[in-house]
Amino acid sequence: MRVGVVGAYSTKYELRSEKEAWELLKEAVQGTLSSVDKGISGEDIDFVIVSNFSDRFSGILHTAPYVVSLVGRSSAKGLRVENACASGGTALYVAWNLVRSGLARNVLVVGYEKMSHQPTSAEINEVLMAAGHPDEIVVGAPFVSLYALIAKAYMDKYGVTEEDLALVAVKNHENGLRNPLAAMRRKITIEDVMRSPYVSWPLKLYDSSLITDGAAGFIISSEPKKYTDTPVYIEGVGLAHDTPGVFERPDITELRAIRLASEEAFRISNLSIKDVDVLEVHDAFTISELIAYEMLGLAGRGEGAKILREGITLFTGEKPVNPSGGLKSKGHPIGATGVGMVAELFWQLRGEAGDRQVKDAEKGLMENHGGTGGTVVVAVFAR
Amino acid sequence: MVWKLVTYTELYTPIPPYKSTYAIGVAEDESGNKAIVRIDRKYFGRLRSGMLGDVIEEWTVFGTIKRFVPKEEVKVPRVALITGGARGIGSSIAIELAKAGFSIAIADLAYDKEAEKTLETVKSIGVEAVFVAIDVSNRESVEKGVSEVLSKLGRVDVLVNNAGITRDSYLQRMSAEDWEAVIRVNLTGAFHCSKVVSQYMIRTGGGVIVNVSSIVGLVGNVGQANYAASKSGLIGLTYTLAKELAPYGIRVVAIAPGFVKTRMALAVPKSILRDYLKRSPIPRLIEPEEVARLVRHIVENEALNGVVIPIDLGLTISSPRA
Repeated sequence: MRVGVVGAYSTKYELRSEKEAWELLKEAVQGTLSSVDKGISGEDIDFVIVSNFSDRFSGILHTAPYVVSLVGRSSAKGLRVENACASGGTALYVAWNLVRSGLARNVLVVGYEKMSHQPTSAEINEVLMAAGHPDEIVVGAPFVSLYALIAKAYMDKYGVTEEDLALVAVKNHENGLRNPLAAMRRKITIEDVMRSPYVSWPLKLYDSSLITDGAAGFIISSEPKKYTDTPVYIEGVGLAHDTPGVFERPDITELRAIRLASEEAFRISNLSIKDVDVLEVHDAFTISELIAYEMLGLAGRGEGAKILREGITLFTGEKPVNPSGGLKSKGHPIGATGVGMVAELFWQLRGEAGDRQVKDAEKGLMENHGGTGGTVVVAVFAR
Repeated sequence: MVWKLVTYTELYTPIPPYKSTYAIGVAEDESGNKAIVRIDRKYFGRLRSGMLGDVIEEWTVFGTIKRFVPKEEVKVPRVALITGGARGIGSSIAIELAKAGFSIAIADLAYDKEAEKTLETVKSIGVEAVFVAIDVSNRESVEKGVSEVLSKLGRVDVLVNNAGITRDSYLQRMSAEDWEAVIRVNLTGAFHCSKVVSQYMIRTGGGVIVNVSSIVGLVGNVGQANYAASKSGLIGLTYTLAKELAPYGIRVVAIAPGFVKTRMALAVPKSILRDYLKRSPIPRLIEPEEVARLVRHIVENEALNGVVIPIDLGLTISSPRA
């Protein structure tokens, strides 16, 4: 059975949305339902999955019945998934398996996060910190620090510089300029990144993804052609875990679960990284995109920055990464992030991505990770 | 058991519930056991991968944490920057902090005879000392001067916002220029210096800012609307910065001297000065060295933050407020 994505939607990601969390969620549900080419009735939706990280941001819980009521089929079933920043990817993994197993024909996945209610980024970091290893929480290590530990070890091991990391931010902001859904559409230079204040040395403000409000959705189906002539097929999804504690890992410079999840996705799909034309990866911090290149097999160990310098992952390169602008420029409304990656690849593989359309994109890959790679979902799509 | 620091980061953004800056590291012992550790911010700028140390357990109200304490105690000279340091109270503070072992940066408008004398006295104590020309009312001048201090002495641990001027007259005769000139030097100057210096203090693990206010800022004084307003303003600045900068390990304290035996105080008409001294429980002028000793105490006593300490021989409690 070839399971396909038949519709997708995303709100504009915003640094501070006027809309409340349930309004974002409602927009995503209604937008996704009406995005299906041949139309889809609420009666056709068997299952809804809501991806959301923390009710401490939005103040709401128990959203599945709300989404079911918006869909309009009272017998539909639903649940919420939470795997930190990989909640969206996890929702895809669950939805895909529900359809593959025959438990559902059509599944609606929606993800949302309303983060800007928190007074400052410090409080946001406190909420996020809850997704770490217990020892990391108690010691007071926010995610920026955990990624900084990885970055410092990586820089020591491979001689990579802060300027190398800055290249990721510059690239993704350049890409975000072409995306009307991106939260921060502003070109930045290496100098801008280097001048931005350190949050947790050696990572700076501009090495970090954006605190964002937003929602996204997609529908997957066991009978995709019934709903559209141009579905995007899900060829394989892998989900893998690593120890949540950065300090426990044998090699701190690896995000091992990315490699494991991608191996699973490639094995199921009978594809390899060579087949992929466009990628959306989880650039929560600049360092994570460089390591993702290596774990996915785009680059050798320590050569992430090298292939970026060579232009391979630029919008015009051989393997464009994050044409949407990524978490860095498009934004990172946590529960929506992985869901938005699916939406982006749906548009890319259907040739509907507008100014940011990657030429002749036939196969796409998303890598969505939670925590410091404690949970990773990698999915491969084809048109 | 010896532990080795595998990797580390310096966190400059205070996160609740700790609301403090510190370094975080991954340490490994000889058996290969690894731990995530917290490291005191006083080691900012001195950590390196591979450094050896002890890991001790420490109880906190949020849970028991592991703390890494480097074995190598790297001695870094502490540096004090005193604005208006060439003469008067500033000169005495420079000398007193030199006696406490601080390297000294004397900032003033120009390198004149008095600046030279203070610099020589400080150097004779045996510490490093430099003079930097800074016009505190000018942001660019402050940035340039502080950069010079950093390049010559490496850091700033103590900032004493002491630079001040008077342009006394009764309200009806006070020109807008005189009002603005005093505010610009006495209050805006402290703002510029605090803003520029604190960003470096954050990176080096904290420090102390002492704002030299005045009893005039507490009780007012006839003929000194501009000066009193500037010195009251310094108190508000102190209270606010003490709250804002505490998470970064920066304490901010104001002192409110009464009449100190300096050229500035002696310029006050004798009749007014006599009138004030008559009201003082201890009717004499304060010695600049006495003020300097208070500043040294503030620097050394880590419990002092966000307070205004009068040093006035009891004048404040005797002064009628109206």
